[in-house]
Amino acid sequence: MLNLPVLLEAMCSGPRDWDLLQKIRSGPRNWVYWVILSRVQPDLTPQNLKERWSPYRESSLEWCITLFETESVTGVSGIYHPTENPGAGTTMMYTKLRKDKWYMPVQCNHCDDAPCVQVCPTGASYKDSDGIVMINYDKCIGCRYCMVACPYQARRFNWFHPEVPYKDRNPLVPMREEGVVEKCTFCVHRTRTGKGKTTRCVEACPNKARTFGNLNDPDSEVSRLIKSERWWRLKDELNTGCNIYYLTRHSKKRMRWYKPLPPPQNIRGLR
Amino acid sequence: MIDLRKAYDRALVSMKDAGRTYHIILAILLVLIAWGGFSWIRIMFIDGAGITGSSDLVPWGIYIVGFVFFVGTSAGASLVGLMIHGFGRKDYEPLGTRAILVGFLSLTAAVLFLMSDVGNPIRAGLLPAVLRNPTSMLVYTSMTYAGFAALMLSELFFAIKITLQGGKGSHRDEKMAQVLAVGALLFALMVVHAPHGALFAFLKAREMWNTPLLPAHFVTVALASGIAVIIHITIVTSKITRKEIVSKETLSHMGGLLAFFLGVTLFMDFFDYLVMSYSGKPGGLEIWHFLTTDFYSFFLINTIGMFGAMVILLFKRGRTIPGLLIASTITIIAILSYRWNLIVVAQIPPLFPGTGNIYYTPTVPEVAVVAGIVALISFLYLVLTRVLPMEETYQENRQMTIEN
Ligand code: SF4
Ligand code: SF4
Repeated sequence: MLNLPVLLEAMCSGPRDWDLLQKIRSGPRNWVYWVILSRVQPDLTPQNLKERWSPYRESSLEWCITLFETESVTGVSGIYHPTENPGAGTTMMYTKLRKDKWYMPVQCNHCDDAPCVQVCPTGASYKDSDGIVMINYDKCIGCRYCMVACPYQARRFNWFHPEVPYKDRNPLVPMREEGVVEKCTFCVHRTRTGKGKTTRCVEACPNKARTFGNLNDPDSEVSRLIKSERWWRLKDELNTGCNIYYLTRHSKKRMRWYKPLPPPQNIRGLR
Repeated sequence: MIDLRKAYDRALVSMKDAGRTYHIILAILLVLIAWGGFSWIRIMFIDGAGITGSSDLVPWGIYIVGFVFFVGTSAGASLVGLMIHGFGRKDYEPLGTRAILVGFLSLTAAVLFLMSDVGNPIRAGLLPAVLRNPTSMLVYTSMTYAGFAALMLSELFFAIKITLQGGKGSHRDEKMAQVLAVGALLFALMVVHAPHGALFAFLKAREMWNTPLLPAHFVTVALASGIAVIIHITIVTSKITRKEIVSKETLSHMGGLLAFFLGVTLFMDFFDYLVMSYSGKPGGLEIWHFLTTDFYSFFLINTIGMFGAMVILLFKRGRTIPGLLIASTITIIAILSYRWNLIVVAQIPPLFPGTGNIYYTPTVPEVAVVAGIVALISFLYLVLTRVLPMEETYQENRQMTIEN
């Protein structure tokens, strides 16, 4: 029943899994994300998009979000999401950094000391040795304790039975059944193949706002970026150790301000 | 040994004798249970949890409100056992079995609420045994239910045994009852209920929960809600059966206890909110703002209700039967709104600026499930208090003494 050594160790060392952290830091891979905020542009014109991307969506933000749907990676259905359940992109929240609104993609930060992993009663949420926080959908009981524990509102619950047509499913990504929690996975089905593939949102972002890479590789772009010292992490005061870094780019030109998106509509729990 | 056949006959007669109103109430409760069960099946198997009011932004709703309230009541109800066996207050004895029943049924309700809330109840049943993560508080709290239920059932066994032997058990039985009663209260408060406070207090993402005062607060609120429910049930039952279950002095003593626990709770509440409003943390300020503007009605019901009930109970003149009935009812309502504030309002302030107006409103199926669960435990309580041998009430006891 009760695993006494594990319990004692957990009580003595605190919930932080330092060993795992050491392993991640010294291991071959430690994935991190960069989001260059000044490049997050909420209203690229349709023309603009047409030139660079397929013309499905009017704005690049929406595009970034719906991508997750086409990749059927994660139901990180966010504040802007097209359908309820099948899963849609990042949570896009705007935050008032300067005099006007900025749009800021927020998703699972794959925290080093993840509150969701600490509280998950079943061990369905766990941190892997390459730094990615994953969910075992076969273990999750859907108690949503992790959802209230996550400071970034990164997790989504499958409120309904998923109805995604077969042709829209990604065979590499398991469908999540009703009653389990899911979130961004840093596209493990791409990034862990070892073929240098990056995540879908990095590929898709028309403005190259995102960079994804291995922090333990000194030649990677993320290792170069981290030297810039202009980065910050979301809610760093909570000591979660986020693995998504935001970079506010230094620019001689005045920042461009964009028209905000219309207020979100038809979102459960939001008025 | 207990003669089962005789017990069965006795129960049948007692159910038949109960009168029309009793049977009508049972029928209404059955309808409510059926409605709740139907909605539960709809939520679980047909439409999905999406037809509840919870959302990704407010993941925990009215089920968890009910869960926390009933866990608290079950812990608080064990206090009567301590009074009888720990402090030797024999005047509480007629309440013994009833209090155990209230505690046990409240725990049943709490577990049912939890099971209705999770997305996969069958898997959740494996929780403490197969699936567990040693750093999660929820594992420990879910482990405690079985232990607490076992404690209460053995308490019930000894209570019935002693009652059947005419209120005076053998020395061994009395000793067992004593150990169980004291153990149950300690277990209820320290092992069951304080960790439920910790369950919320550990979440650094939510300002209103992340306070070290919460486990202690849970304990005092639990005691207050348990006593309030027992006072309420005692008075209502006495009124309906026209039989004094316990004397006025005992009720008055319970009122005094309730006033004490309400006072402690208010004291902690006051400093908790004071610190929150002074802390200057954005989250804390936002919750303060929510409590005092958007959800002010619940906040007022909570604080003024508790304060009012305490004031009524502080004076000897307030601790009469009507005063106690009013005070206990107010307390139950105030604690329900406190639980609502604690669970729902704590999730309403957005985690990021600019998220929009987050809201939570329970939907009809959700309310139906809640009504069904409450009806189920009320039904069981009504039937069990008829079927099981109860202790002699104060009135019967007095009449016997006079006749002798
Ligand atoms: S951002 Fe939230 S879901 Fe992701 S690892 Fe951190 S706590 Fe867990
Ligand atoms: S909902 Fe699933 S992943 Fe989240 S805490 Fe519960 S069991 Fe763990």
